[in-house]
Amino acid sequence: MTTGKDRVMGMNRTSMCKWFVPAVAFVIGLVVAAAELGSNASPWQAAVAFVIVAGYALGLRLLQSRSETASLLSGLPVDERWESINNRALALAAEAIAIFLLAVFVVTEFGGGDAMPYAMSIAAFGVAYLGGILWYRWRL
Amino acid sequence: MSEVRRATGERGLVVTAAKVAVTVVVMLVWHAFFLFAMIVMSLVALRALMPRSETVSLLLGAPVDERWESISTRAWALGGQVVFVGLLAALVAMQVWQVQGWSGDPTPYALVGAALATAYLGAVLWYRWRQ
Repeated sequence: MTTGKDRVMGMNRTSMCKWFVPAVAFVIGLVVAAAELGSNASPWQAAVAFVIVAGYALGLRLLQSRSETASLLSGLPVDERWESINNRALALAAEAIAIFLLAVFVVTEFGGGDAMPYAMSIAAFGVAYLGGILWYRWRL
Repeated sequence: MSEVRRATGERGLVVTAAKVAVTVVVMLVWHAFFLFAMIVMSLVALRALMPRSETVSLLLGAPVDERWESISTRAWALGGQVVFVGLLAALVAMQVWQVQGWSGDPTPYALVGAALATAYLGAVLWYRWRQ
């Protein structure tokens, strides 16, 4: 049986979830702007960097209740169909990026550039994917 | 006499340079061959294990049923999310390192992060239209 206290806690949790992505984007925006300022960028350039990141998140928050897509992009899919869309989209993007990373790694290696960032990204991808298989194999 | 010695010395240099070049080429070819052999052997081993293991079957791109298809989709999704968070962290770390005056180029991380975000947004629109 759901009590009034449970309902209030549930509402608080939902509103916290709604503000989670904007809050994270706000912090990332601040860090990026601080780094821009530190690397001899003008305050104007730092402000633009902050506004791009924070503005995107704030825009999503404002559109959350009106658009299912915005709600999904904020990490709150409205129903099972949107959860399925999210999972498939993430999987498709991950597969595309894995191929892209491999191609860029090979091209950079041949070109004599620094391929380490791509190699590390591929390694992280491989570990996360294999870990994901083991985790979901155990959980599902 | 000295001309003969100089000619012998020059020939020695040429022979040494040729030996070094051949050694480097052989090492590179051997290294490439070794890597190629490792990849082929691991694929052959996985193929041999395929009928016995559902996990190996998935790793070779042939999930045995719907449960394993779901595991594959979720594992890819998890991998994508982990890499995206890692890329963001690396991007911010490189920016901060640049501030500190250490070496490090954030551009590769920014490019791959942007490509991943674009691919995700495109896929959301695609599946929204298709489902």
